[in-house]
Amino acid sequence: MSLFARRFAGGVHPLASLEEGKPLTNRRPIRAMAAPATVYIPLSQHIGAPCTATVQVGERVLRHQVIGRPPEGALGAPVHASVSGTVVSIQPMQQLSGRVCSCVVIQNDFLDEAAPCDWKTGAVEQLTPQEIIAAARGAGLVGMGGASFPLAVKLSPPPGKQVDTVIINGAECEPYLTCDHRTLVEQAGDVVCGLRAAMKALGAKNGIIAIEKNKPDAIASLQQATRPYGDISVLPLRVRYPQGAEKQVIYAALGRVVPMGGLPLDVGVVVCNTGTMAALCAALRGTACDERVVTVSGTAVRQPDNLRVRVGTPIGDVFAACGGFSEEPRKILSGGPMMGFAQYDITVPVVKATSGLLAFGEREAWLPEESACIRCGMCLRACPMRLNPSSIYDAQRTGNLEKAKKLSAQGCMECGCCAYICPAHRPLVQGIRLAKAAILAQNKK
Amino acid sequence: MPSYLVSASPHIRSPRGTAAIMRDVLIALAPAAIAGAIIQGPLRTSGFEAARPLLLLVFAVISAVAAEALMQKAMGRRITISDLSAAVTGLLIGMNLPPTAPMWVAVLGSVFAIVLGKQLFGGLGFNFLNPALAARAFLLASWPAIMTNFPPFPVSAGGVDAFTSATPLVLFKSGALAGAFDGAGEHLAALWRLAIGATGGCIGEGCALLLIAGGVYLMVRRVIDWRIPVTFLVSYALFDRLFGNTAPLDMMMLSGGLMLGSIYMATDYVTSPENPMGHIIFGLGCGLLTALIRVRGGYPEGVSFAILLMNLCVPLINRFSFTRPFGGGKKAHAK
Repeated sequence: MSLFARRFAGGVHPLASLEEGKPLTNRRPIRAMAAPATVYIPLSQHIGAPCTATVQVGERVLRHQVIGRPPEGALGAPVHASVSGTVVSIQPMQQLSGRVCSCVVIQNDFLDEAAPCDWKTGAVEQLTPQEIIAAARGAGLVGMGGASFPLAVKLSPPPGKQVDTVIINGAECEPYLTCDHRTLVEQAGDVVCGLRAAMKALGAKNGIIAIEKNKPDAIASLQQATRPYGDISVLPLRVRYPQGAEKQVIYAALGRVVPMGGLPLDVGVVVCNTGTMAALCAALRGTACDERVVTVSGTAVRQPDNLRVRVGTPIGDVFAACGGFSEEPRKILSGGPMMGFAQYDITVPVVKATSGLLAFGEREAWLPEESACIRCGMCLRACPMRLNPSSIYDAQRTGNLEKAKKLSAQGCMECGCCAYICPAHRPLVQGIRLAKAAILAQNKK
Repeated sequence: MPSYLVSASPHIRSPRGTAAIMRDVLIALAPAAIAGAIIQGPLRTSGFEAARPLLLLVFAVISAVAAEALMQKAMGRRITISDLSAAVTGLLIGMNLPPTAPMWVAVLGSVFAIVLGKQLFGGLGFNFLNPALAARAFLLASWPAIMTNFPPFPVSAGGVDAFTSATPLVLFKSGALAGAFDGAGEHLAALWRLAIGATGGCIGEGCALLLIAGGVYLMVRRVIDWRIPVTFLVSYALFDRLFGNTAPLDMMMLSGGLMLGSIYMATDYVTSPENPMGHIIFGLGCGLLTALIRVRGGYPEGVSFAILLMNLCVPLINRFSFTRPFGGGKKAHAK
């Protein structure tokens, strides 16, 4: 299958002069970080209902043992212990996302004794689609790019929805982040194995691995790894944020437009994160999702790196594993700088969807002051959803929800291109988020 | 515990703020302004008169910036002269003055533009007329003799002295040049004079080549979009012929304020529409009105009034132009 990537409208190129901040870590091989003395494992690491703990305080748990399960029939994914040891408490804690949820705190005994896995393992050819979905469910896999949608649910589309193509999103368009890049380079075989499993589970004929052109080594290693499979192709993408947004990557790869308010399923596509596919491959070998690759970067980090981190590790420990801070950080982020969350505390734990931990020094953290809109229209041209960010923002500020609705505020994916490009530095996407939340609240009434 | 800055994403911003954009506009205008000051100065005349065009530009810029600072101070607002928008307005006013104008005209024009044209409406972003053009219209209406005092240009190029008196547009309008450029050599020589601005006219509007070069710079730097200037010029060319102008079209295009207006004044962010569809409507309207005034109206030049009239239509254009969201949904109208 020969492919060419289409150009989506709009977008920006953040930190272009610094090669998107990626050179800090893009040549550093993934290094396994030692498990910490204590892990704090949140019971809600997915979209859907939080898990209920299946272990008691004082109980000894094994690595990969299920410690929380979603309520029967609810959307969710189980969580597993990432170390062996003793449960010392189950307590509510602040999360990277800003929410508070219950966490199972485990004192590590450093034995790493593993529990047996309770799903069928084997090569992709030996497993039925149902067995692959069962493995994804059993291993607690969720979308590891940030959205945390349970993979087993993604692999079981509702009846009537035919999926013909699975796209692996290796765009990694967020500045600084290189965890997917390194996974593609070092674990190309695993990623392809995960993709083949997903294709089999969905009955999809085609697989596409979409990678931004700023990762030539990843493109080369995937071209090598996909050579035996005629139904899988590697698609180099233009370097432009948000190339990795679901709808944009689908358009780039297939020219299909996901209708506003719709899902990739509506155009016969499922998009999966790179790390998730490597984790699916591991799940087929019997490993639960209890660790992930995290890019630790930013100017305030002494030795920026790509680390394989156990889920539940406090982010302070992760920074310490990179030599600590070279200067007092002014801002700590989980995720990338365009869509990530600012943290006020470094005791919060890493979860399945933590792609990056960034520590910004004074200069990187500096935000310019807002000034008057000069109506340049740059936000309009940068919006990949072709909305009018400045008008939605004005409607929100004047409390005109009806107008915000009319301007399709709900179609905003919050990529932040508008606020990034605005020469007056107006908090456009921030205002649009408020408008979206208000519209949602109004609709619920 | 150390305190970390917490804010909503995005956590990085484009380094290109309003001041950087205005700086690009100044850079784009500078060559044509300097060329104009030289051509209409030392190359045209001598003594103090030779320095007058440059001084007019300097006075216009300084008084615009000073007026902005004083006005903002008087109104208790934050002083924002460092965004360079007042400097751009001042420079455009200077470039729109005849090289013979007294200094007070430059000062008065700039003060009018900033105080009445801009600050009284709320400052940058809220004015509905291009401040520089509003000032030009004010000066033209109040002191028509001063504002149309274009001295003869004695430099003879290629043996063609057709443009030595008044401005080319006045000459074309009066029919004085009918048949003057029938020979190919004469035509080319006259065209070259128009392209470099060696004719009577305002300080900054003459050197079409440098104005176009600056426009290309602004497009490459993505400060302006091609849509307004290109549709303006194409629409002008079409309607100029449609209204039955018999003067050579290439010369009409290079004469007067068409290049300065279409590239630098019609593209003013604040007073032009927001989205691409609006840009096209706006450019079309500017071209139509310019041609109407030049060919059928009483004035030889119509660029300023055309843009000002279209400035007034911007809210309406924004209302009727839209972008269609990716994946359908409702049309996203502008303001």
